[in-house]
Parts: sequence; C-alpha cells; structure tokens
Amino acid sequence: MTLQQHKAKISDLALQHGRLVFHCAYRLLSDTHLAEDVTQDVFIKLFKKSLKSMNEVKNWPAYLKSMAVTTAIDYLRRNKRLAEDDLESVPENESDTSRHPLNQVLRDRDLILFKQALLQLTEQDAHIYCLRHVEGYSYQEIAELMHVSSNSVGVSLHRSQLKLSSIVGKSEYLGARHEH
Amino acid sequence: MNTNHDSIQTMLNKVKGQKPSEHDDIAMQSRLHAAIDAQDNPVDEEEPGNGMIRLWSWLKTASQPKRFGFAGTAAALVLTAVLIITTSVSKPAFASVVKKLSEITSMVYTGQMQSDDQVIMTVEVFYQSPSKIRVVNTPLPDIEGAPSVVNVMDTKLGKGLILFPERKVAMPINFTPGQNAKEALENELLDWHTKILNYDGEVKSEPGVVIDGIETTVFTVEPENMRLTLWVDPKTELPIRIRVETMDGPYFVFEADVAFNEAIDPEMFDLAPSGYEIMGADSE
Repeated sequence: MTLQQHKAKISDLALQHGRLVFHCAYRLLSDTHLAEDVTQDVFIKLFKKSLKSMNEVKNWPAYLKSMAVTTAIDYLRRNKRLAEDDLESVPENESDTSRHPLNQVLRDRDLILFKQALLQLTEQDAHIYCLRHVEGYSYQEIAELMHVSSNSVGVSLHRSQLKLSSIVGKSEYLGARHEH
Repeated sequence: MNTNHDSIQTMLNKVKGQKPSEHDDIAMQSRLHAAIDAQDNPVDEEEPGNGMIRLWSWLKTASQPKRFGFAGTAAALVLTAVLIITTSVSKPAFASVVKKLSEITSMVYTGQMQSDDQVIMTVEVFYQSPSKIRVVNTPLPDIEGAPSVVNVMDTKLGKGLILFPERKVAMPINFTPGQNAKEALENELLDWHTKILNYDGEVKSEPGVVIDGIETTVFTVEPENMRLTLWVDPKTELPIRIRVETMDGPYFVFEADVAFNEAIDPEMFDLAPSGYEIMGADSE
C-alpha cells in the first residue's frame, strides 16, 4: 500500500468515524480541544499500522473507540491537572451556569471524581472499565478488542468496581458529594 | 454498597451524557482531515520530528474566526428570517416595507462581518422563496485555520447540508426537533427568530439618507439584544442596504447591499450536490 493509498484509507475512516472518536474522547475528557487532539492522535497512529493489520480489523468503530479510550486515558495521566482541577473549573460548552448553578456544580463534581477514579485504576483496568460502562461494549467484544479472555475482562471489571466504590465512598465521607 | 453503586451509576450517567456541539464536530472534522493530509507534507519547523498538525497552534489563530464564523452564519440566517417574516410592526411605513418583503421571490446579499472593528469574513446569502437558503462564509485570507463553509438549507423539508468546498465533503443536518443539528443551528436562529416575531417595540425612522445616489428612509428596530437597520428605497419600498449588530455579548456587526427578485441558479440549493462525499453520521 502506498502512502497515498494508506492516506486515502485513513481519510475515509476519519470521514466515517471521526465524530464517533471525537465524542468518545470528549466523554472522558470533557474538553473539546483535548478531545480533538485525541481524535487526531488516533487517526495519525493508523499511519504506523501495516496493511496486513489494517485488513485484520473487523469492526472499525469499536477498534477506533478503543483507541480513543486508551489515548484519552493516557492524556488524563499525562495531564493530571484535568483530573485534579478544583471544582470551580467548568467544562467547555457548559459555561452558562446561571440557569442551574447547583446542578452544574454537582455535575462537575461527578465528572472530576470520575477522572480522579480512573487514574487510580491500572491503565488496562481503566480501559476495560470505560469500554464496558461508558461505551457499552459486551465482555466478549472487549475481550476481542483487548486480546484477553472474557474471564479476564470480568475480573478486571470486578476489581475496578471495588476500587471505584471505595473511592466514591471516601469522597462522600469527605463531603465531596451532595444529595441529588 | 448500594449507595455507592447508585453514586457510581449517577456519575457514569453524567459522563455518558456529555457531548460536543455540532459546531465543534464541524471544526474537528475539518482539522482532522488537514492533519491527515499533512502526513506526507514537509514537517512544520515548530514541530520537528512530528508531521502532525498540533491543535493548539491552530487554535491560536482559528478559535476566533471559528466562533464568529458560526455567529456570522447565524446572524445571516436571522437577518434573512427577519426580512422574510417580520410581522409585528407599529409604524405604517415600515409595515408597507414588510408587506413588500413578504412578496419577494428571491433575495441575494453579500456583506462583511466585523468583530471589534476588524473585518473577519465575507458572508453571502442566497434566498429563494419560500424556503431555500444558502449561506457562504469565507474567512479573510490572512485568517488561518478557518476554511470556507457553505450552509444549504430547505427549511420546508427541515433538511440541509454543511459543505466544505475545499474538501468536497458534506455533512447532512436535520432540523427535526430533538436532533443535534437543532442545538447547533436552530436554537440560535429560532431564539432570535422568536424574539423578532414577538417584536412589538418602537420602529425608528429617518428619511432623506442618501445611499448610492438614492434618497432612502432608514428604519431601525431593536428586538432585545440586536439592532436591525434597513435603508429603504421609497420607490420600491424594499431595502437596498441592511445591517445587523449585536447589542450585548460578543460584538459583531454585519452590513450588506441587498438585491431582490433576481434569478438564482437552482443548483445553489441542491441537497445532493455532485462531487461531494456525504460525511457519516455519528452512529452512537
């Protein structure tokens, strides 16, 4: 495959699935600029893939979403500020807090808490957790995407659930959450 | 544990409920293709060893026109709506202008959008009665990162396309209530549209203002946060120049010369333009 053919293929994938990847990254990062960076990273990484491995991909939307999740988690780890932001920070497009200021603050608390919790999981556990609980993939689909067994997916999710329960419990104890 | 489980579910619901705007989708898609295109191009000197176009460097120059580009489209569409449908008027002379406007078959205007005294783009509007609109935003050449965007809409069908002429790519938009495009486009349009429809304030007029040798009457209406000015030729009772400006929030002003009842090529409103690839929908 020549560079031009490679580029044409990636360009077509970007056309078909660019928004999907962008939205997936945005859910985890709550920031359009960073989500756009992740989206570009995902598609640029495809230039490093061989023709053989490109042809082996059976489900491009799932494959690209998985790449978006792992790249977004990597961004979170490299930009811990995003997860450690104080609660005065407001995600983009949500700056109009005048309508429902309390709801907005509570929403922001949850989003920040989620990012903080993700950082306390291993990279693989965080990846699997997001694919399952944010993107809604089945154990089998995740197993195929991650090249692990379904049983390993289940173990990972159980481990993450325990960890998150502990984090959320501590957060409530410390008063970070409010009655909804 | 159940409480924690509920809390986690609440948290996840909020995470899953986040979504960028249609406007952000458009900007993202355009820059994504530029980044892919740049892969075999010479590497940017500021980014040695990395052929990828970094978003942050784009944003330095692109964010302003991006934002106002959209405002420009919205303003142009609103202005079109004003000219077509304004019905609540308190001054008989202006009512006569509105009546004439309601009878037009087409309208074309080209003008410049300014923000803080800086001209940022040219906006062209083509309207074919009763429901077809085409808006072309062309950023000034010295503003990088803001490609030309064309909006084609049929308000009667509730359908439209956002065209990227440089890439020959088109994004379908749908005006059905509840669809995302509504949030991105119609909310601004309809919000102002509604304010204008309900306008029952004062109509100011000033006769004897000469424009291009024509002695016009100037009408000014101020529906909430915008001011609309029309320079009307008394002979035709139609405007020859229009101006819309915001009165609070991000300031922009748009002024254009306008022509009515001219023939417009039907292809300009084609919702299946030849040579364009239709962008895939978000399949979530």
